[in-house]
Amino acid sequence: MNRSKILSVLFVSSLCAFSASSEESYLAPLAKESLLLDVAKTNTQIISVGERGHILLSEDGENWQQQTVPTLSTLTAVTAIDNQIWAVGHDAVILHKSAASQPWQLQMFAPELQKPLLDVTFLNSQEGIAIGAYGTFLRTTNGGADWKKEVHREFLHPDDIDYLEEIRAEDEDFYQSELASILPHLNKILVAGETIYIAGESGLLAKSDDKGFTWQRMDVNYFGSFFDIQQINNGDIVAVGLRGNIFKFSSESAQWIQIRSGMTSSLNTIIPYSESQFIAMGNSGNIVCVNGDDVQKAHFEDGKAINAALNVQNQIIIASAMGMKSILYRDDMTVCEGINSGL
Amino acid sequence: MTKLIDFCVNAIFRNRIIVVLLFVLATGFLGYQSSQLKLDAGFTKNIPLNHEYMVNYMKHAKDFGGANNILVSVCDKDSDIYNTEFFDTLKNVHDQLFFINGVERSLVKSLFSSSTRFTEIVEGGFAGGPVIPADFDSTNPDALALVSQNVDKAGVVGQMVSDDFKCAMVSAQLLNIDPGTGEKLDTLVLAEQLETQLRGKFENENTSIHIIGFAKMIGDVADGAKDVLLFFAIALAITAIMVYFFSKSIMLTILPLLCSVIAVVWQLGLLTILGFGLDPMSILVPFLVFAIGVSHGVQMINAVGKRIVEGGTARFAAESAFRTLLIPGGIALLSDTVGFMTLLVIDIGIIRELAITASLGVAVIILTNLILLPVLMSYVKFSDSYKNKFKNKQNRSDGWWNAISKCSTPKYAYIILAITAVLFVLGWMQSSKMKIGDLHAGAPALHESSRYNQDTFLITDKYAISVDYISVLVETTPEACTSFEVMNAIDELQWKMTNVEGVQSAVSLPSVAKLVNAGYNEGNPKWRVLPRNQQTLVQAISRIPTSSGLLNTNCSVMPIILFMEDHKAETIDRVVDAVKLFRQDYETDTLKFSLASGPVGVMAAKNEAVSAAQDPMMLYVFGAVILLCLMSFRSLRATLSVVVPLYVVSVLAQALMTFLQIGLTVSTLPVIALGVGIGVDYGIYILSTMNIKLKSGMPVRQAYFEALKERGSAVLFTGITLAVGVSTWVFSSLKFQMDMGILLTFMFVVNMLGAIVVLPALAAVFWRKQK
Repeated sequence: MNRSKILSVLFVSSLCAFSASSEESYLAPLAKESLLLDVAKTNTQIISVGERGHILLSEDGENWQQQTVPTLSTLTAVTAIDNQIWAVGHDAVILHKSAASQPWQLQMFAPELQKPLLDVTFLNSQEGIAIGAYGTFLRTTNGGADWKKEVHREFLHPDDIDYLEEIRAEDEDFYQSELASILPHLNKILVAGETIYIAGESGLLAKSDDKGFTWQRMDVNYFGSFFDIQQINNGDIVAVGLRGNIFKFSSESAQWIQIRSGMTSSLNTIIPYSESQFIAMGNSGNIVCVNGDDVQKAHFEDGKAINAALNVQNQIIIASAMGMKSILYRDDMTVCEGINSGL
Repeated sequence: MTKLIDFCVNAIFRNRIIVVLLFVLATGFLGYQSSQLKLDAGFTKNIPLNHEYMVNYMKHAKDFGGANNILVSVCDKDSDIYNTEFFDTLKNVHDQLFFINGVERSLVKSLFSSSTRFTEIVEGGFAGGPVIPADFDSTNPDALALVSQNVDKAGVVGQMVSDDFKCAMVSAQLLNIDPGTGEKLDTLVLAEQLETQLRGKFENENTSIHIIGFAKMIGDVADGAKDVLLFFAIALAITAIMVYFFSKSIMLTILPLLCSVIAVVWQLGLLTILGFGLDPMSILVPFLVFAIGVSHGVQMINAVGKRIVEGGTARFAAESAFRTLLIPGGIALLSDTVGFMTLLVIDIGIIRELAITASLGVAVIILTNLILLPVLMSYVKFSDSYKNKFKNKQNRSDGWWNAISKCSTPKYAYIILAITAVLFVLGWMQSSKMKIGDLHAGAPALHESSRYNQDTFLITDKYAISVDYISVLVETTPEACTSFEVMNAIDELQWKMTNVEGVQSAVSLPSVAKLVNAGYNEGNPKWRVLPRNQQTLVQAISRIPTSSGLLNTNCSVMPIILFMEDHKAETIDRVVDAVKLFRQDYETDTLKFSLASGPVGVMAAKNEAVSAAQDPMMLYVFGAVILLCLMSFRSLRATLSVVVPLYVVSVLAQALMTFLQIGLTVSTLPVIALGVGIGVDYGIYILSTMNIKLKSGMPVRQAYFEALKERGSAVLFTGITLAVGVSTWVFSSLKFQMDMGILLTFMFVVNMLGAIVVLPALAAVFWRKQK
């Protein structure tokens, strides 16, 4: 009897949470020119997500169609496996589209947590991880039907671990609440073969060799935030972040080595290019093209933040603060040379 | 009635010397007064102050400044702005604008204002400072390079720096009251200072200065309006030549023109006494007074001349002309006066001023041209040769009049009325396309090629903003900006409005708070959202000062500023309608989205006031004419004969306005009423003669023929003369005057045709039994 009462209370509360989300997209002509934060591709389509729950689909990277979705919360990341798509964002919203013909469905919506989700990835069509602010770490093993919270103290800075152990000895409740707010923001998750990497706040670069159940914080000589982590074509791992910081981890060096970009604005996204080349883009429309030790800079005239980009057949598709744009590149010059020469 | 006229004749003509003396004294006094008359332009008198939008606008003007602003774009002609000379000039322009009297000093903004700051994100939080550091040295290339970086970081490209980095903006708001004198700010003096102290001083071969805003616009209009004197002189000369050919007498040429000029002098003098100035947009009213004066003056010399030719003495001829013309002339002028006075009901300062200016002027003509003119003419000596000149002409012109009088035969009458009906229907269809408000980008009173409009095009082209913005005033409870629900509602409405066609961009407290929130999260664009957490929201808002113009001191009022592509009436309508539609989804008892502030908000109010005033104005003007005609003719048929052609012409005039793409605005609205005033003279003069004969049982054609003989030449002549005079206005440097020239030419000619052709045709139908 008691038990069923509790269940019904839970049921009601979850209903409330969902009724607050009875919002639906406002189809706006300018959605494709609004703040867009991530871009991904399925087998046939390119998807971009951004503010106000905007989700745009495109076949060619030029023409975008806004989707009707059951949220107005800002979406921060999108991922696709085959033709399944998941998008996550503020108010801990998770949206899912199971097939091209299916509508978007809300898998989670919890504004009361006040913790935005910042990235999502799927290992296969069933197992996925969503990460976010204050160490938020959610895992699903059934394609998103259920999302379970995990707390990974491994993301903590060693100093913070000592501090937390001290207070835990005195007050368990205070320890839990401190833990919830002291864990760093998890900004980006990368699946590279059998290893999973996470980049985050306060110099957090961590890796896991067991599908993310246990994590090791990696040593890096930087205490600012990392916003993206990617594997480039020669197998090296690259992380970029605040104030133009670029670090590269190769199997030979076996440590994070800084690449000087000569830039002071944030870099938000890495685009693997060819072999050891990659491009990093970020705030104020700044671009860095890296080829081994050679670093070139370029700048988009509009000065708008570039939040994510995708390399699709001689074309870089960009999600920026002013919407989608794309640049074509040529084989005889680097992307930075191309942009600087006005192409 | 006859007794009254007799009394007037005796009172005036037995005391001719006294009458003339009184007029000389009055003219001397008013002439002196009129020399004191100033051009006077003001922002608020162009505004319907009691319109809902403007009540909201005035209520919050203290917090958010007004709609009366000035933008000065300083442009380097060759290179980008980052050079020593440019920054020195920009600083000088900023300082100079700051010190111009009437500028709200706390709201002068440019790269050099200390409130223009950049923020950047560093490990551990914000770093920032003024875009131009206090120790800025424009000769140091490193300092320029630093400013260049700061400009990028501050995100002022498109607002304070042009998109192509060749221009920078200094903006200011203007006060309504001169802080020095405590009196109304003299906009024209300010405009003059902008021209001499900014452009005059700082424009050179390397740098160009572009200034826009209401004050500059009206200043340029006033400059152009000075040409009006020249056009006035040209029209006067043309009229004089034509009157001479008509009257064949120098004295008869000089006297009606002199009396008409005296009317204008009196009118201008009376304006000064009443404490008014002459608005640049009403500058054609004195000319209208002159024109109406000439029209009545010519009737007078025509009547006198005819009596002289018949052999009367000057005194007798003048007395008899006075006797016959006092009633029709008086009625015509009274109906003008009353018609113009009805414009007073329109609650826009400038239209009320025009109502007073015009009705005063027309009332004065009753004295100058119906009393002074015949008295002066009674002194003229007519030689025998003068009388002989007309002997033969009389017979010749009778043939003419006979031909024209066919208009009043049933056969022609029905054809004429059928054609008139067709024209009316076509005109009606065309005039229903009349657009309210300004139809083109820039200032409609000025030519597209004018410096002002070129500057407007340049600024809208090079910057993401312009003076074309409308503010939706979000009125709510104190501290409401700390409520996520309120801020989110504002944000959502703003986004919906941004998507409305014609809106270029938008800014509000929530849209800036989102940027600040991202700033607090290391500049990560993924945090560009409104925090649901109240403390976080407060933290974001606390970095936005009230000087941003996005909130008042207790954030109970927050404007959403919508920058528009232009201020065409349809754009404004679309945006205003969209606000009214979308706000329904968000308004609660404590959250209101009120229209409107900003220059386009003012235009929206003006447009609505004008379109609301249009029908009542026509009703009142025609009401006055109908009432006075009924009183004087005591005949519904006669009244209709006068009013129907008038109405057809006013519809055709509106059709012409749509053809010429002239929108109905505060400045053009009264023209239709003035047009009625011009036209009513012709009909009343013709019909007053006809009416007496018709009442005595004379057949229509006969009565019309007699009327033509008596008044026809004067009517035809007046219409043509005045049309030729105003048609020279197409050469004016003011687009407004050019438009008015075309409209008035049309109204002079077509009203005349209406009185000569349509009026008798109507009479033929109304009195068809009288054969």
